Amino acid sequence: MIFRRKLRYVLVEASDDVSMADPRNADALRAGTKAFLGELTYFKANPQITAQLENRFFVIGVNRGYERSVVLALSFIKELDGRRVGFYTLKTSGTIRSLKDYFAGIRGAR
Amino acid sequence: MPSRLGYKKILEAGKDIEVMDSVGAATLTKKIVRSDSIETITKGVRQNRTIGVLPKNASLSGKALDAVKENGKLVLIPLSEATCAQGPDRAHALPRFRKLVRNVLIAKVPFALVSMAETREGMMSSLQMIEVAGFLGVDQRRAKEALAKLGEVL
Repeated sequence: MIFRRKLRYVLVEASDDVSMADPRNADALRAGTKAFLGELTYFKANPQITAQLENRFFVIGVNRGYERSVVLALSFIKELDGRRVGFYTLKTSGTIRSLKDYFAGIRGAR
Repeated sequence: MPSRLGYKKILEAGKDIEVMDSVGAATLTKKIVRSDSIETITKGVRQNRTIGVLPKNASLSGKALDAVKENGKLVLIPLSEATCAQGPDRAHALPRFRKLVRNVLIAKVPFALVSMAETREGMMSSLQMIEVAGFLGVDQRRAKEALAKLGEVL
């Protein structure tokens, strides 16, 4: 029997322009999250960068029940590949579509 | 920016509120006393314009907590100091902050959660503030109340 992964999505804003399409940035974020959560929680949470919405905005998909741990871990990451960067988690949701709608709303307001 | 991060307004130290390291003459603007010295804190909390106490190095003695409580002031817990500490500093900062939160909760002193971030990287969204507070031992309901407290007082 194959179980379907149930995910929560977290909309994240970086304090500076950060492209998660760059593998160095993605690896550094992964390493930072793993360092804070520990290997066991990291693999249970299995956070993945799901979408890059704009230069500073991206979405992380995480196993349901571990989204709060990822939000906490992101609060403690202040450096990415030698650059000072902070991450703000703006919203968590069960669907990526609702986050994209929310993002469209805040982009309009900016 | 404030609404995106989940706040009505972001208050700036030095602009919206003064942060004083020592107690001088009474000022017209509302202020926060930042100190770990019992003398400074007891003098500071007696002044009408003082809103609360920001513990230096995340430490407040029992006497200081009593003085804050008696004068109806707030203890401000600066969460960015805990999150921005890196390496071995963080290993020391987190237990210190946990102890501070524990002492404040035991003494039943009113408290407010503040960021006191010095840089953009140090800032956090309201969601993160609640999670970090939860990590330090404040339950979610209290954390939400404490997050709005400083704005209510001002």
